[in-house]
Order: sequence, then C-alpha cells, then structure tokens
Amino acid sequence: MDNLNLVTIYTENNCKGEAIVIPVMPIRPQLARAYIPYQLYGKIHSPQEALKKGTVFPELVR
Amino acid sequence: MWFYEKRTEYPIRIKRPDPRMAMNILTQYGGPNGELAASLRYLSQRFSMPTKEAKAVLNDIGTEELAHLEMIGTMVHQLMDGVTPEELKKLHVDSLYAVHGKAVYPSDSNGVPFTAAYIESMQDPIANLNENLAAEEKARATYDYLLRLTDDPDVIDPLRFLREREVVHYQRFGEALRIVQEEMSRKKFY
Repeated sequence: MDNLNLVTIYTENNCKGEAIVIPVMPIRPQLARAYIPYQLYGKIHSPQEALKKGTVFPELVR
Repeated sequence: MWFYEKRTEYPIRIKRPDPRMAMNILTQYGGPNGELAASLRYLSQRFSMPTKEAKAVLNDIGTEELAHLEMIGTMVHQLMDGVTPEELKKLHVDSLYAVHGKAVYPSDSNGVPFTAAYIESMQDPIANLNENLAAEEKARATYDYLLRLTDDPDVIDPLRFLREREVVHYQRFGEALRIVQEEMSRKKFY
C-alpha cells in the first residue's frame, strides 16, 4: 500500500462538515506508537451480502 | 439519547436448544471480553475524546455493542428454551440454574458476575484507544473459541457476524487513533 495515498474524511451528520485529509499511513512514523492504515473507499457488497458477511467492505472480511 | 428498533441487528432463530452452548455464549453477555463491557467502556470513554470524529466513533461503536448484547441475550435465551432441570442435571450444567433459574444474568460462563473492573476509562485518549484495539481482538478471539464449540448453523451464523464486527471495529478504532495522534501532534508543534 502506498503510504502517500491520501484519504479524505467527510465529517458531521450526512458528511456535511469540514473534510479532513489524512495519509493512509503516517509519512514520518514515530517509534513507540501504533498505526493502522486508513481504509480507502472501494467496491462494496450488496446489502444482502453485507448482512451475511457482517460488513459492506470486502477488504475487511477476515 | 437513543432510538430503539424492535428487532435484533442480525436475525436469531435457534431451533435446537443447547444449554451447554448457552452457558458458553453467556461470557459474551457479562464476561470480561463481552458486549456489556465493550459498550460501557466506549460509551464512558467518549467524553474524553479530543476530536468530534473520535467521539463519534466511540458513540457509534458503543451503541452497536448494546445491539450485540441484545443478540447474545437472545441467543442464550433461545438455547435454553424448553430445557428441563432434569436435562440440565444430566448435562452437568445445572449450577447456574441453582442461582438464576433460566434467566439471562450478566456473568461469564462460570457465573462470575459482571464488574466494571473489566474496563478502563482514562482522561488520556491514546491510552483509551489502545485499550479498545486490544478489547476488539480479545472479543474476536472469544468468538473464535465459541465457534469451535458448536456445529449448529443457527448458532454459527450470528456468532460469525459478531466476530466480523469485531474486525471492523478494530479498523475503526485504528482510524480514530490516527486522527487523535494527528490532532495531538498539531497541538504540540503549532
């Protein structure tokens, strides 16, 4: 995964708040800290499939 | 404030009672890594979060954990449906019946009652979010153990659903942690 990929998060109800831009992984990671890559929005399951799997996001199915 | 929907988050229709599995699953009701602990942890910690996004993540996940508590309670109840004290005696799972009858009581599988000592809520949001990542993994591991203890598809399906939700929540807490880290480093340098 490219650390320089940026994720835009639309905040507040119905995503009408300010947009936050955050890199998928920190550009300068520090020692003694935990980092989880930000999820990029991609393809999603149908509602029926999502209920069966427990998530709409195929990349989160473990 | 909450709105209530009169249905479970995932459908639960268990046709075959199984008191042993009911007792096993009970730990996810009132046990150390259960849904009640998860819900109270997140709904208490949300007040200490420094950003609106992190507050929202804790609020939403804490709310969903209440729906999971309802699912687990429903499963325990259905697994005990129609079971007689004689059957419980035969299966050697009559000790909780002696205390609570067939009621759903927040304890672990061994009857150890729920306690808030299972959870932490600190002023430090980084400490809280790290605890929550661990909590989701511990709950996920518990669902893995539970899934190995049954072959009933009516029980497996909702357990698999709940297990997957732990994975999704782990990702969301990780993202909240990133937002809080960025926010705190901004405050430090500017």
